[in-house]
Amino acid sequence: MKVPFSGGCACGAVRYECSSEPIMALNCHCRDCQRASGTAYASGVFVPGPALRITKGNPRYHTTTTDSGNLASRGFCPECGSPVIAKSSGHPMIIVHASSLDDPSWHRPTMDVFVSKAQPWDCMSPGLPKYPRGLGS
Amino acid sequence: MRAPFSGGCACGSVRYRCTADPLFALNCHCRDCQRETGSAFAPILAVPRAAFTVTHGSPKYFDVTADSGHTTRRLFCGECGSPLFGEPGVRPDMVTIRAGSLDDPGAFRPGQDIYTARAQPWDHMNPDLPKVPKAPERRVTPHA
Repeated sequence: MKVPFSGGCACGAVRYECSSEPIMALNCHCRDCQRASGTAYASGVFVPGPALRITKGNPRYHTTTTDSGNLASRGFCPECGSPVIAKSSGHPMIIVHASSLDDPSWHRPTMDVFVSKAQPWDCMSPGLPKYPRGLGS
Repeated sequence: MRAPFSGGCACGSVRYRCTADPLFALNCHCRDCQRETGSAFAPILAVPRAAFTVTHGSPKYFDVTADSGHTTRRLFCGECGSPLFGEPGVRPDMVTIRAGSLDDPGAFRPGQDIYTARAQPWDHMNPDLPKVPKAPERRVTPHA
């Protein structure tokens, strides 16, 4: 994929730009990600924290304690609700929601995590490694 | 799935309840649903509006013009951002619940995939479900 790349919310109130290639990408099927997305899983693209710059607006953050004990802050557009980015106290990366990208087609998830929490109607790619809980579980 | 059932957002600020069985259920892969979920598709449970009540809090909303030309209202929790339900202008008698907001999402049974022409290459669908490239061909006439 090309850098820099950009993305934002549905209404355009929040925009970001990233100057670095993603470090990794995955789909998380935990219940928190289901609630936050309204769907089966969250599609996360992990980028180095310093490489991501909010270029317009300010996401609103909702912070919860995850199963691992880390604090997860989920940033969404306060105007249209679109999930945009997320942060975790457990690592310095920023997680970009794949469909907030202007071109989500280059998202290349390499694993499914928290598949033990997946819904029966959640159809995953059989070719991806599956972890029952977090990464490496 | 059988009524009554309930749901709400991640933080508990907004809660809803439905007292009628769903009209239909599907997965929508359009770009608007991708933006709303941040992911591949929106799992949609359509219920009669008359049977649907917000029992706690007031969702925020965002209006988009759908392919049908009608305005679709997308409602979410202003505190935590969770997508909750939609109010499609083309079907004012209906509310479209996002399955991830249900208290028991396991009861959701989608019957088809729509707007598959817009699906992302990483969107893996159930091969057994009927696929519709855009909106379902047989539109139901909106109630007067």
